[in-house]
Amino acid sequence: MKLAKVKIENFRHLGDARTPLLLDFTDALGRVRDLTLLVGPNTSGKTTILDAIAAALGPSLEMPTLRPDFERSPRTIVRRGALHAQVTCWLRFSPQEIASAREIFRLAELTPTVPDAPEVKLTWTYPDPRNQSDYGFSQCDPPLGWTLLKGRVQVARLLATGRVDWSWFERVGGVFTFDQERTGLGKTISRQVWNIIHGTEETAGGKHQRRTTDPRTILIALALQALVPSITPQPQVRDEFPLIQERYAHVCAPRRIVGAVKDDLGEFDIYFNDGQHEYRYEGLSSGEKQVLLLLIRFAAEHIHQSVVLIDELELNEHPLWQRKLLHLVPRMGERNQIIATTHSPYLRDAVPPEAVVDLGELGDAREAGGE
Amino acid sequence: MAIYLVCEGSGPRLDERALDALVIQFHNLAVLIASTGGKSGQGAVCAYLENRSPHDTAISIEDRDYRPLAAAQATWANHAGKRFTWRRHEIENYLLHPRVVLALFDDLRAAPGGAWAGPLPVTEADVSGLLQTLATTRLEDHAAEVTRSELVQQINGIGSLSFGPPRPAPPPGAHAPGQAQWLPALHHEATRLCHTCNAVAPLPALQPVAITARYNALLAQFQNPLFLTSGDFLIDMGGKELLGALSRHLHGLGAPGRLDQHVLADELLRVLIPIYQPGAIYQPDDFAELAAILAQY
Repeated sequence: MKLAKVKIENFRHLGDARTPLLLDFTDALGRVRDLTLLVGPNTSGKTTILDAIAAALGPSLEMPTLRPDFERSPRTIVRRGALHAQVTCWLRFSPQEIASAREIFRLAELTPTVPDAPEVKLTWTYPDPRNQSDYGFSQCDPPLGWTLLKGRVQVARLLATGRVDWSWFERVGGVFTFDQERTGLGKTISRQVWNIIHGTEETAGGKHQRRTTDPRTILIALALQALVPSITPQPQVRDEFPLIQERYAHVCAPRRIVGAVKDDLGEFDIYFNDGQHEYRYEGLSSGEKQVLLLLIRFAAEHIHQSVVLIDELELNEHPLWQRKLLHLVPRMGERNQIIATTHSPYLRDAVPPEAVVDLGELGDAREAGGE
Repeated sequence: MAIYLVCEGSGPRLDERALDALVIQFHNLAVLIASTGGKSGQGAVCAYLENRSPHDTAISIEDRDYRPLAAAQATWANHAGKRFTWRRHEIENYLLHPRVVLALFDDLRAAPGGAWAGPLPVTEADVSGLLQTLATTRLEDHAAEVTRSELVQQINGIGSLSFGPPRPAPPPGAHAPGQAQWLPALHHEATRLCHTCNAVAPLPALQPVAITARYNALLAQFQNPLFLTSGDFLIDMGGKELLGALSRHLHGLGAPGRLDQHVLADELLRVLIPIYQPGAIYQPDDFAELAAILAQY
């Protein structure tokens, strides 16, 4: 799934019915760019654009696309004096994605026919003019275009049935939001790994009890899983921990993740090395933590074929790491589309001018992006 | 200690993005890029960066332009040096390698609505042929630019034609030089400039007959089919001009309006990045050599 164009009206201070904010994410040849940077000063509306996209697509995807501190209410979303906010998204799907969505619907024994629609226009109106949904009202053109947005949630539901495996996440995408705190990370630890981490005497609880948002615990779990891959066989899915190790070493060189180590008290911890000394998760700099959170979530959530919204990609990073991240992020999944905001001129100068949406003071930049 | 790579590059900063991708990111170097924003000022930027912190190092790479290849080669002879010159005319010349252009043509054909790109060459040899055809119309211009560059070099070899007396030192106890210091300095510089002009005026190379002869000789050299078939034209001729000719050719076939010369350069860089391997496309490979130099620090 790729976002080719978005039109925003009355979403907070962005656009209105007469002069909507139009953003074009396509290149000179009409293809959706892998990476777009929204560049502008504070209060220019960069984060609000990400919010508008996430708010518009979330209900159709049935995915938690909004950042945790986003308040969904007419007062906080709709421009003062307007009745509704409206966000229109032009989404593109490759023939492979369409075929995969069709196959998933067949496996899930769902009746709607997935249309052969390479482009779907989704219009989201908030609040719902019909007063039927708290999440707003979404309309698709073609009408059954919504089925193309349900592939990922259907894969998640079908996983438990064994009809699909994790590799299906490489075929159908969604929308992922990385806010400035890089929250949104969460992973259910497998029963076997949970028992290893907590000792064999403790009995692993239900799925909800084994779900954690703690990056340190998730890293330990992934490291252990990599050591004993046979306990959680996931065919066709690359080992996540070595992937995180490799990417971390690339961005943060000479620093690297050593792996999970059992300390003197018999508890597992994750160790790092800066080229000279070993240190624990607590010893990480804020820049290292930001990198890790990004890497873990990309790997743990199998982010592919998706629209990835990243607020302030450069946050807490030295210019060298900023650029490494900028080059790495589009390569971290298969065919993702990255839309990132930044204040950093060093990042802006690293991408072609066409891939930069310069928001300036948004009041005088009503139309931005490509033609 | 910070290491800076100082490069040219105004407007779309193509130099900076090519160096970032093919040198720094490819080799995962801890090097920052500083772009001078134009053709001049590299020395000043390097001096500023190194003076700002004595632990920092600034390495610069500049365009060869119409200067002889040997002048550029000489800068690479000493890897401990800090000032290097591209062996090719400018960054666009690297992007115009037929293998890179062919990769772009393949991409253009595969893009939605890419039917217009159907007639574009499908082999590296045919791409080279197309580039030779585009270059043919620019040979007279190229000969003139090389002639001009040679003349400037000869004139500069005699002395500067700028009137720029160095500021004299103030007398003891004063904060600024006065009449007694300034007038001799101005007289001295005026005399120097007159002498330089007198030395330049009779230069044989500056006589119209000699200029015509040299221009014709260069033109004949460039019109020799070998200049084109050997690929030397892609190394020596102005890359921006060749890129402009390619852009016009594509528009003649029906390329989208947004695919202008700058976007075309970006597209070439985009297709080059995944196929680039040190020593595989360029021999010698300035990117790989520069990376090795930077890795020393």
